[in-house]
Amino acid sequence: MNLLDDLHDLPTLHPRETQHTAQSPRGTAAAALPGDRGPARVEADLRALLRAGDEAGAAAAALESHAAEVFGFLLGVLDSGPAAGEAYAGVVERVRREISRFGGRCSLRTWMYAACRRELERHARRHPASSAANSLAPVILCGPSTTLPARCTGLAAAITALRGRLSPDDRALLILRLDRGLDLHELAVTELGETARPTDLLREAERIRVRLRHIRDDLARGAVEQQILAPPGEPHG
Amino acid sequence: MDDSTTRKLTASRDSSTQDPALDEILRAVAHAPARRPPPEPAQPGERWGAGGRYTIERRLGRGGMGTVYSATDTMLHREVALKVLDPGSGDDGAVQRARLLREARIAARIEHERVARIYDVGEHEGALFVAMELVRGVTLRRWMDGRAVAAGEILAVARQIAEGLAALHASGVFHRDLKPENVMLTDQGGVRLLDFGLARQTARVGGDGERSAPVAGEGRAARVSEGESLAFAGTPGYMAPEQCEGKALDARVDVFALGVIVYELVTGVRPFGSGASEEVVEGRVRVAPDFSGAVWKEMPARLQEVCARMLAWEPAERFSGGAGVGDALHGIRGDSVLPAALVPSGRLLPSVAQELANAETEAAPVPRRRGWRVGGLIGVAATLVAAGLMIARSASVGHHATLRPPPVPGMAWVDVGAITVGRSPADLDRECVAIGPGCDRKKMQGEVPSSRVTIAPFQLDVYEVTNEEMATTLTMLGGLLSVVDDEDDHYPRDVRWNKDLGHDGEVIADLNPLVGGIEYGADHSFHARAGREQWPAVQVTWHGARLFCTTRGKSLPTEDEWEAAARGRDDRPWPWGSAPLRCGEVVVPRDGLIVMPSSCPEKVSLGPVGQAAQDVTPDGIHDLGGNVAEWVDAVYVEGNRAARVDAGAADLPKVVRGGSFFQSIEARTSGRSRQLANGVGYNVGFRCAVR
Repeated sequence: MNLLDDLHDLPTLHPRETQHTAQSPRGTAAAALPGDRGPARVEADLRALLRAGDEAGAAAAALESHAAEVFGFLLGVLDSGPAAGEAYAGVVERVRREISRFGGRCSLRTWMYAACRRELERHARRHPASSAANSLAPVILCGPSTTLPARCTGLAAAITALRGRLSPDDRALLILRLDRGLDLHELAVTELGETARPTDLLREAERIRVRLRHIRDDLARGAVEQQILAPPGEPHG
Repeated sequence: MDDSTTRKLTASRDSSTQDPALDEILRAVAHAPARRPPPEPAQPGERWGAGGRYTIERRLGRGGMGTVYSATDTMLHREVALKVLDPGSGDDGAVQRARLLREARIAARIEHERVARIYDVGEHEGALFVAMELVRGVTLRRWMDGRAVAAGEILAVARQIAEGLAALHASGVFHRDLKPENVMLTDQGGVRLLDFGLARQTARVGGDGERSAPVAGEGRAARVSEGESLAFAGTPGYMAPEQCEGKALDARVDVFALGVIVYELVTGVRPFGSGASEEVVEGRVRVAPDFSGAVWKEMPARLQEVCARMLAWEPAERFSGGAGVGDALHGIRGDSVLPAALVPSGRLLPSVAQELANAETEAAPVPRRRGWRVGGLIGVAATLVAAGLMIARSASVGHHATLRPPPVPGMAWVDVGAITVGRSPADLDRECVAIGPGCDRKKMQGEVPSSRVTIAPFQLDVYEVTNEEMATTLTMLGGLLSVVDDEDDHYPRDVRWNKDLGHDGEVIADLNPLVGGIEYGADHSFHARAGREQWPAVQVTWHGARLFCTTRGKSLPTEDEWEAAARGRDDRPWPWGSAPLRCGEVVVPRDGLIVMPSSCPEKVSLGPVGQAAQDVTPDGIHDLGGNVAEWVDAVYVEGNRAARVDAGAADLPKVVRGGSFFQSIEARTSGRSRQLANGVGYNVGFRCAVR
């Protein structure tokens, strides 16, 4: 069986969106949309610029189109405005320097997230202590929810605590998968790069699939500890 | 969580079934709303300052109050660091501007080898900037973390910091944010103090809106601008008690901070912790520094006394300034050893496994040191190599200086910025006229067109990879490879990826005994042929070259990087400069296409790396012009040097750069040829890069 054809092999971790936009289901990320022209049009325009040899223009357009979602992603992973700003500057430099090597075997958006992950790796090596920091207040769950408790203040603390359980790398995977809607193949590309061989991407996608399961299970245990989720087999409290 | 705010959800859960509640929790954890990034104050290529004097090159990082860029001073033709104040608003903006100007005024007064120089201050479209010395080296923080620092080094660093502080204090200023991150160990081995973002003048400069608070026992006073908070303007862990409490400050806060640094150099930990500000304050007030550790017993007793006095809670009990500390430190018997003296110069880690192990060490948080060792060179070397591997992905930067660590052993930094690569037809016509009748103009056509590229700083192997190194790597990879006998002669010939492991069986190397330098033994290990250990590894495919570099935590250089290393910022026609080849000093070719004295031998054989004394770039990189040509990470596109097809795409011909003993036309810095990725050549080797 081709693993990459089986993207829904994650019962609770399937992406909520398959289109390449940064918009979350709750609509809170509307500002992140790459302009109003739609992601496909943006992608086509960028590729046209590259084909025309206008690498500087393509880099500028790519950054302009994806700035908000990229910075939001970095902020979500690093949990610090200054740190995200520093990492974002690194991503900008990477995009400018490397966009000429974009081979078109993945979407430019995925390629940019690959650049983000390389920059996050660099950041983690330079600032090993910052990986433990996690103080970003979640801006979630204060709206209607069909499955979670009504009050959001306690939940916010619990969600913050859960987020703190994750390493930056795991946080990045989870955000890209659930909030940005990247599929396993795209996640593998962000890890290995678009030039990786298909067999390597396949293996990496499998590794990520397993990793996401571990993340989910760990978060489930944490949610039980935080008393926002019933233990397995336990009836409603 | 308050029970009243929660209720337990879903009845039973199973990892293989849908769980809406868990789904929602996961989505909440993963939620990362889009945010507009903060605006970048400057862009590469912009010209700042009067008459556009400073050309912005690239962003280096962030300092206390703004963003720092490297820039070129086009008037004096030197690199500078340009610190651009963050755009503020309202009163905050005014305060920041005032502080930046104050920083410039203070620092501009000080000329001392232990203090970073400031050159200029200006304004660009409403943004203030300071042009200052671009200090190359590593921060004390990066250098000290995770290593055992010898007593001689501690003395040397502390004495030089004290010298810098003495210069500041003699000028009537104090730093107020002294910490390892603000101390650079320069490439020359000396200490340089950075970042006067929080420095204060101690002599009255007048002006409204300032108040002074005299310090008991001292005739000096700190001045605090209205609207500024002193409470925690500094770095917790290095702030003196009076600094934490918002009291008036003087030079003795720097003495205290130096005491913290010395304590940290000796023990690996700060004397009062580094937690939240309040905890630091409480800790400082109530906890005395602990000098009972065994490590202190190994130190000169006088150093402990000096450190204890620097860390005295009462300012009056400390040294009055940097000069006093310096005198006390110089009174301690013992040689001081500049940190640069410990930088190893050769390859210290012979095995792939050890390099990879160090790379993994770097990826994990580096454990803190725990003791004073006079030796420890191996540990130092390992840390340096690991640091170098870490740097592979990009240049390290911080504050107002590039934090360029020493290169990985066996490698050299290449930093050219924006350069021209390739040649225009007119350029080639001119070159051919110079070369004369032997010029193969048609062959050179592949160098067209020229284009402008910006190359991020990277490191390149000083020498081509040798047979010994390649053989070691192949042996380490062991079972990942298979060795296929020659069909006719039945000796081990093709080294391939093992198909059973999911690879496609690409050829890594050809062990042709007639021209190769590596053999496969009955013990199933690879060896360099006797006498050829230090010769460049040839008969290696592009795949093999990439594999070698990857296992070393490196990569093949791109074509632009290779050309940048050969051509340099000064646009050299030959890797070693502008002079033509000279026999006896360079591995010259036999085909005579390049201008050469007629006395040159007709044929020069392959030889050990580095044998050609002249064939070395100003960056110290050998053999780019001769010995063997080299694989690079690029696809060869016929007739278009500017095309940059990703090298991983399909099995297209790959680019080979540099001249060889066999062929000379490529020895020019723009020369290039091609080779199939699965092909080998007895005049084609490679070297690796880290970026």
